[in-house]
Amino acid sequence: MSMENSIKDLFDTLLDNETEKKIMRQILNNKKPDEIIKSFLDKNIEKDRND
Amino acid sequence: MIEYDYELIRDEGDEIRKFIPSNIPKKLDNIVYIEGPNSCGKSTLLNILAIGLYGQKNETIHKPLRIKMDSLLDETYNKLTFNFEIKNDNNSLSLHAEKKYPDKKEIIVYEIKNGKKNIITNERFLRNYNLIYDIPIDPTARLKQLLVDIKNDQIRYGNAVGGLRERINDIIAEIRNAKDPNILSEKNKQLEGIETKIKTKQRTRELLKDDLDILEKYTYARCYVYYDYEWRKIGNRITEKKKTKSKDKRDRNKVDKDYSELIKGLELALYEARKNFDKLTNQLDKALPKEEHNHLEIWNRIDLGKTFGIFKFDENLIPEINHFITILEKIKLEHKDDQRIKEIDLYKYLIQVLQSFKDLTIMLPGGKTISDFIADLRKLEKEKEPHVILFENISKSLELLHTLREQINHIENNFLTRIRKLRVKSVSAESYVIESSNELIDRLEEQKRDTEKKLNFFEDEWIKKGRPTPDDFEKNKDQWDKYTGYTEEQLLHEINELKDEIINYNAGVEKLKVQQGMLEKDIHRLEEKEEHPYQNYLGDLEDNLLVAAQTLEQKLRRDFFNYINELLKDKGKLSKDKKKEKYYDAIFKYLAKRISFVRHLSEEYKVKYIDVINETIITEGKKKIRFADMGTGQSQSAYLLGKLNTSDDRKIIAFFDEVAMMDSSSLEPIYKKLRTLNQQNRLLAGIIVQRGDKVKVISKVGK
Repeated sequence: MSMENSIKDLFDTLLDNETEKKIMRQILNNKKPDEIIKSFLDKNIEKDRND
Repeated sequence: MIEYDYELIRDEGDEIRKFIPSNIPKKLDNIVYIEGPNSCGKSTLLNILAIGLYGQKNETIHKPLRIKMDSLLDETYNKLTFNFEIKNDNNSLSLHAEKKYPDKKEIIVYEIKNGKKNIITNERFLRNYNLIYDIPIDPTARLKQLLVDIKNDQIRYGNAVGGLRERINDIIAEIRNAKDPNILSEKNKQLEGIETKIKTKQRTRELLKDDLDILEKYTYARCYVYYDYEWRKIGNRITEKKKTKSKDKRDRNKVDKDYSELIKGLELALYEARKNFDKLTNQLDKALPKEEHNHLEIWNRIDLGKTFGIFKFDENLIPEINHFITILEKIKLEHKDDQRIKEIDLYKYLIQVLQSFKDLTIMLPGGKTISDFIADLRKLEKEKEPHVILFENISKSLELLHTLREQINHIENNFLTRIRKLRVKSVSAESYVIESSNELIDRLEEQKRDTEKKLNFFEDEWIKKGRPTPDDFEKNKDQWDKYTGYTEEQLLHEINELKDEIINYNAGVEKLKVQQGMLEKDIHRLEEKEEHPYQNYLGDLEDNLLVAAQTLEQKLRRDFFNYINELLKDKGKLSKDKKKEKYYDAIFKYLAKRISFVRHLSEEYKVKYIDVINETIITEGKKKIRFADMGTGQSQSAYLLGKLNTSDDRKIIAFFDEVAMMDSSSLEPIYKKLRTLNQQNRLLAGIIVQRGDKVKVISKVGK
């Protein structure tokens, strides 16, 4: 297992909330704040479209 | 490739010494092993490279190394200049550092990436590069030092989440400040509502003004005619009384004194009774049903003034008073349980209560405001009001009838009977001359003045209203007919109420116009703005993402920061906190992944758990290896591997000095790791330095 996955595992274990986990994964992937916000909202926009 | 050069001139007190690279080549491969005796320049090279890469400010570097770097830069005894370049294999990335001036601390660091040269600050360097510089002295104890790396990572992530949280807040503020179609549509609806309300209120106000105009014309015309007649009537009476008085003066000596007193008393008593009689005449017309028309005609023919000449009341007076009392008592009894009167009482009570809350902006069932509801109640009250007025007039008339009957009986018993007796017994008819007292004339004069005042008032008002004639009233009888039963006071009260109501409507319209103006401005301001692309996701941002970012930031910056600090201070074991235990458990597993393998007594083991509290390594085969039982070289190897096993994608520059206790089998995993990182394009340079008798420089690239 790569170290990148190890640190993801570490925070997945430490965090309970799904949104917090998603944010943490994006932070570990060096995503910028705007990219994180966009990816979070894009999922909701997509969900709205499907609904 | 690493290319470097330096010159160090050191003042050693007794001599000045100069050091330049002479033993170690100025060009080195990116992964290189250097061996050499003391003072051959190995550590100086590593220190200079680290100084050029912001090593002094890097807290992950062991403090004694940072002190060495500081002393190299102490210009009181060291005059240092250097420059170096570290380049990756394909020359797409290189770092340059240069210290030009021996007496200044200034160092300029550049990054050349894809041909583009930029100065790189310490902050940017830390974001993009991971400088690892270590001497693995006492490596088992310093396994714990790997926790410092984790702590620093946590701080970096905490800052990144903080940046995210700030950006979310900015976007929320942008959305709030942007054009929101829902808010705009809501405000337009509110504006329409206000405009409708203004129109309704203005319409109602105009209707009220019409009502008031009719009522005023009717009231002023009626009262003007009445007081004009009254004023003339009183004038005539005064003239008559004055004539009698002058005659009286001539015959004063002939009149008996007692008789004279009785006459004076009678005249004043009759004056008072007549006032009530006149008032009743005016009022009975409004209180009695039409069937009583005949009796009213009889009543109107009664002249109380004649009583003074013939010393007896009209024979119809008492029977008519009694008749009216009977009729009105009967009507009053019939009205006792009148539903309309109870309704009016309820409306008045409700209006009084609601007045205290009329400024509240709540909507009542049916979509009405409290002010609207009060207006509706007033309308209902007005519809039922004539019945109440009639009831009031009946009560007032009854009261007056009883008072008048008492006055009549009093006059009969105390004056008329005695006067009649005196006239028969003691005085001849010719000598009876009726004397009017000054007091009566004074009272009549006063009454005339009062009447005149009222006459003038009503005449002025009547003129202001355009001198309406009976013909004008015939046209819109339905509008004033309801007021015929009203007394003067009731009419004036009604006028005042209508005026108040119009004032209230004016105030209401003004208030609504202010609201209308504010809303229009708001709408204009909103329409000029651009819509935000995340407009519909404000709730998601506020309730979900922002909350999560805040909580996560708090965990990284406070909870996890405190937990790892306690571990570093050896206080971790004191805890019984479940969250903390969970954190430590996860960290120990993570440390094991960073170290990955350890060598122990010539065997290699896969590590599963590194418990830094109890200083134990647990292997996959469940072997327990205590830190203290590990060979120094083996634990050095484990420690350095831990340093190299980083979890971020920053480019690594690794310098390891004094790896003296490590044999080739312990060093091999380190070279292997450095080569892997290099192949993954994650390594810029790796230098391992060890003490030896002769200078040896061995490239470890690609072996």
